[in-house]
Amino acid sequence: MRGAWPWPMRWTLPFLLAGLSLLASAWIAWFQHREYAEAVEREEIQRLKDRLTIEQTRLEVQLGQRNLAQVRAILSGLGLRRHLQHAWLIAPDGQVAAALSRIEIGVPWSTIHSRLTPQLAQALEAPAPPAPILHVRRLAESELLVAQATIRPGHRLIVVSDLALPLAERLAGARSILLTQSLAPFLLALTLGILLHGLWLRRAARLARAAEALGTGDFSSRAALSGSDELAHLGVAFDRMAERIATQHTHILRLASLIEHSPLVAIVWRNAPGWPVEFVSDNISRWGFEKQDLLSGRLQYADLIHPDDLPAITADVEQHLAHGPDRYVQTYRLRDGFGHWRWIEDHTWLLRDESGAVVSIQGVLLDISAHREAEVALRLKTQELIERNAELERFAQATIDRELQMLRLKQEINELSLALGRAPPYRLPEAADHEAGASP
Amino acid sequence: MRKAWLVALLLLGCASPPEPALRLALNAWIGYDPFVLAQAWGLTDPRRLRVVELVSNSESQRAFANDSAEAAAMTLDEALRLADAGVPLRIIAVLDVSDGADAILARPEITTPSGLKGRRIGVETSAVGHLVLSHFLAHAGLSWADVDVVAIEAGQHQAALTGGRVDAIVTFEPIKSMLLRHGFRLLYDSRAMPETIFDVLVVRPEFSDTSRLLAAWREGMTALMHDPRKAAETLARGTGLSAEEYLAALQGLRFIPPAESVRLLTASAGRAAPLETRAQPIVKELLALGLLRQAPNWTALLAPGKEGR
Repeated sequence: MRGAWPWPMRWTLPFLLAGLSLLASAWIAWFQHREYAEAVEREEIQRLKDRLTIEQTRLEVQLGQRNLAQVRAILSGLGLRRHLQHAWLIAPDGQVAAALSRIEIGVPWSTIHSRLTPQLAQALEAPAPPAPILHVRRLAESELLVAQATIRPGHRLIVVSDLALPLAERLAGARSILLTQSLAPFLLALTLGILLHGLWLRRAARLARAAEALGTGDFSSRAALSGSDELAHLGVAFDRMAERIATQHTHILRLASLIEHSPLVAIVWRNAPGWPVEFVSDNISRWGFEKQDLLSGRLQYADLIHPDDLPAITADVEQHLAHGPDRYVQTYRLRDGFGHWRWIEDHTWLLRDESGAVVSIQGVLLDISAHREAEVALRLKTQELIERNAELERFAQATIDRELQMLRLKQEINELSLALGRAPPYRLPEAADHEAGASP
Repeated sequence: MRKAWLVALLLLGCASPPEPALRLALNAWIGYDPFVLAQAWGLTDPRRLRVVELVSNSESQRAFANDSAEAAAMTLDEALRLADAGVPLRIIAVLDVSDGADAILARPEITTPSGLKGRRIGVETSAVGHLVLSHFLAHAGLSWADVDVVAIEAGQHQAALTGGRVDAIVTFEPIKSMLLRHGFRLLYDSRAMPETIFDVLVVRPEFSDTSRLLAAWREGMTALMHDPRKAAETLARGTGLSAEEYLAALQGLRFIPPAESVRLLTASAGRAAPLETRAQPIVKELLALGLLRQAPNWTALLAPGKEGR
C-alpha cells in the first residue's frame, strides 16, 4: 500500500477532502448547467413567443394601414432584445420589408439567405406556419432559436435568437451562488483536513515514526503523544509496548549474552526432512560452524549426526513427534565444523499448533564430549576395580574357606573331646562356634 | 457531457462572466449613420457592440432611460432633458452639429412661415423638434398659442404630413429629403440656428469602457469620409433616398472630429468646457420653456471618452 500511494496520509487527506469537495461542487455545477440550459431554453422560447405574439398583431395592423415606417420601427425595436440576432419581415415579393438594420431593407431575401450559415439557411427553407401560428424551435446541435410566423397579408416574419448569451448570463448569475455553495464545503473540508492534519495525522505520523524507529531497533523510541483522544491512548499503549519490548530486549540480550558465554548452543529446527535449522545462537561458531551455513540450509543438521547414531536418533525423534512426550534428551555424536566428532547432549522440546502438529523443534545443545570421555575413563577404572575386588574376593574366599574348615575341624575335635569327657582342646569364639555348629 | 463538465469546472473557476454586447440606441438621423456603417461593414465586433436603429428620438430616449440600451445617440438638448428628469448619464462625445438637416416642412400651399398661423404642426415634443419649433416660432413672429402642436414621433412624420393629419412637420434628415422629394415645402431649417443642435453620445455612468463606442464612431466616420459614394449606397437603403440624395442630405450637418469632440467636452483651468459655453443659450431657452427644471450639472455630465485601445 505504501508503495502504491507515495504521499503520507497527513497530506493526502486534506487534499483528498478538498478534492472531493471540489468534485462534488463540479458535479453540482454540471447538474445545474443542465438544468439551467433546459430552463433558459424553455424561458427564452416562451419570452419570444410572448413578444412576437404581440408584434404579430402590431405588424398586421400597421401592414393593413400600409404604414411601412411603423412596421420597420417594430422590427428595429426588436434589436433592443439583447439575445436577438436577426429579424426580417419578408414581403410577398421576396424582398426584405423590415429588418433590424435598415441597410437590409429592400434586399432580396434570397441574397440574405445565401449569406447565412448552412444550418440556419436550411432551417429557414421551411415555410412559415399559417397565421396566426408562431413556430419557435431550437436548431439541432445549435444554440439558436428560430421563430417563424406568417404576417397577413402574405408576409413572413423570421426572428433568430441566440440562447448562448442568456445561458451564459444565467450561469454567470448562478456562479456566485454556486461559488458560495462550493466554497463553504471546500473550506469546511479544507479546515477539517487541516484540523485532522494538525490534531490527528501529524501525531499519527509521529506515532508511525516512533514505530518505524522501534522497528529498526531503536528501542528508546517513544511516541510521547499528548491529549486524551483515541490516538493519545494509542500512543500511550505504544509507549508501554515499546517499554516492554525494550525491557524484553534487554532481557533477551542478557540471555543471549549468557548463552553466548555458556557451553550451551540454542537451536531451533523446522519439522522437515533433514531438520533444517531456523535459528542457532552465535556461539555455534565455537564448534567451527558458520551460522549462515546452517541457516541457509547449506548444511543439513541430520547430515552432521554420526551415521551410527542417526537411525536411532531419527527413530526417537519420530516417536516423540508422533506420540510425545514433547520434552526429551538425546545424546549423539555431531561432526563439528572442524571435522571432529563431538558428543552432544540435546535437550529438545516440541512446539505444537492447535491441531497438535509440530511447528517447531527447539533445543539446547551441550557439548558433553569431555564428560563423556571422563565417564568412559571412569567406567574403565570402575571395571578395573571391580575386577580387582572380585579377585580379592576370590582370594579371601579361599582363605576364609580354609579357616572355616579349620574351625569346623577344631569344633569337631572339641565336640569329640567333650564326648570323650575330655576338655575341648581348642578355644573357639562363640559365634564361630555357633556358626560352625549351624553350618552343615 | 465533456463540454458540460468543462462548463462546470469553469463555473467553479474564475472565468469572467460573459460580457454582453453593448447596445447603442439611435434613431434614423443621418448624423448617426457612421455607427450604422461601422456595423454594416463589419468594422465593429457584433459581440461587443450592437447598434440598434430605432425610428424616433423618443424611442431611443426611452430605451436608454429604461435600461434597454447602455448607450444612445441624441441631441444635446435631449440629453440635458433626460439628465434633468433624473436619468443618470454621461456625455462622452460630440458627434455632429446640425447645419440645415433639421427642418420644418409644410404642405406646398403654405409658402411663408407666418402661413402656419392657426395650423397644425407635428413635432416630436420630447425631442429636439420642440427646440426647433421654438426657434421657428420666434423667427416667424408667432407664439405657441398661434399654432396647434401635434405630438408625432419621427416614424410617423411622413405619414402624418402626406396623410394630411398635420399642415407642417418638424423633422430631420433623411425624412426631410424624402418629404422635399414629395413636394413639401421647406419653411425653416437649422442653418438658421447654427451651432445649436449638437448630437452627442451618452452612456450610463457605470459604463466605463467607452472605447468600443468611440472606435466604432471613428471607424464609421473614416469609412464614410474615405468612400462617401459607396457608403451612401449602403446607408441609403431603407431611407427611401437614392445615394445621391443621401449624399446631398449629408450636407445638412457637420461631423465633429474626435479631437474636436474631446476639446468641446474638456474644461480647462478656470474655464468651462466649450460645449457648456455654447449650450448656454439652449439651456436658457429650455429653462424658459419649462423643459428643464434646473441648470445642468456640467461637471457631472461631461466625461470625454477615450478610445484607449
